Amino acid sequence: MENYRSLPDALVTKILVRLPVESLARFKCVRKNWYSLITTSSFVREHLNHLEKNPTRLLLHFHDIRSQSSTSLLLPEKILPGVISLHEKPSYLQIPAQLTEIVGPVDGIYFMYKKLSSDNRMALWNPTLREFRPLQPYNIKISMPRGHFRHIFGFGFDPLSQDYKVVYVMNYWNQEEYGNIDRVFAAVYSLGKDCWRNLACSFDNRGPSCMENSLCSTCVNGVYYWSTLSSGAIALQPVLLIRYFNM
Amino acid sequence: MASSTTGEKKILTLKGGDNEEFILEESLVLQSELLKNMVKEERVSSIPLPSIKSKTLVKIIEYLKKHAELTPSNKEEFKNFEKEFVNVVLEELLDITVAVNYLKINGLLEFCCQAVADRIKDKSVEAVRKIFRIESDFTPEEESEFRKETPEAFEGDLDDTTN
Repeated sequence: MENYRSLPDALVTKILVRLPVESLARFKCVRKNWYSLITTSSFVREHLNHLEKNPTRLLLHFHDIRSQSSTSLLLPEKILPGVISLHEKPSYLQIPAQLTEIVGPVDGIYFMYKKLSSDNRMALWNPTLREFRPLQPYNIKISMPRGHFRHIFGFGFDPLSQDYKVVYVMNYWNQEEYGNIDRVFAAVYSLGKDCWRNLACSFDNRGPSCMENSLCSTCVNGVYYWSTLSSGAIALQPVLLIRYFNM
Repeated sequence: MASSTTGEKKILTLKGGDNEEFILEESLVLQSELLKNMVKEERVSSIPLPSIKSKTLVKIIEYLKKHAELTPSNKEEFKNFEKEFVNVVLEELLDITVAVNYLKINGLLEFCCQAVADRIKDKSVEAVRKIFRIESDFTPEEESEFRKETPEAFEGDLDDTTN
């Protein structure tokens, strides 16, 4: 193609990383090499570095275990002091109903989990791009214990392998078989490899049961932290624990 | 602006694409990584820049002069100058951006790229193709597939103009 002002690729990249994600979603179809540029992981990382200027919004999600119903709310962009903000039901975001859990966002991506009687479904969701990506079902066989289960999730970015990961901790207990000791099972999912891997983990016998009621959890520099309250071994004193997992 | 030469100011000639000559102090062009290396290593006194239009070069020299005069007290004035600097038709802004990229004037390059991004963010795909003078290599089927995948990216007031 004749083009006297052809822009060097590096310059095109410099311009495109400064665009909002909505524009990028459209400009993917300008030309094939724009499409491949915009979808490379290095471009995505560079684009995220320019994102600070973009407005941040707060998504609230409630799940009522008894009624098995969930509500999601997106707070408005501008919350002025003294003004009570009206909640906006983000129906246009097409959040799947009856979600059990939402974790995130990490770089604008949420991890979503839905508990079903037959199996458990997980997905990653980018509301800005309205991209929804179901994750490989977790199907590593373990001798399925009877008893009670708790599922705990963490979702983060591992800067070392430049990969998004989900950490899944399941703990289960069964008075008859194991006594008072919680059993723990953990696995990690890599988005890059699109597969699950079992983790050998050692929790002390106070167990991760408190992780489910985490006071807050966050991913910082590739390490996922849960701030938890558990009853201590000695005289049942409450103990504040921070559990972490290095992605 | 540290210069190793003593006392008197060195003079340099830049030659634009249409052979117009611009005479300026050497210290000014040191803001350009490309020209700085040429001046330091090859000790040239005249540099031809055939790929840059004179009109573009005039603008860039204007910026270099203003930037050299930048002090903490006239920061506001400089910011206004920068705003006006990129307030040109998009075609011209792209010419400047390409030239600044070639000359490696880093601060100005960041500013120009942001200005281009701000100007094209609400443009339609067709307009962007015209602006960057590129043609689609997707089939019409593939294009309609994009529209189906991300309809909201094609909604709203998209700007079809190229300026």
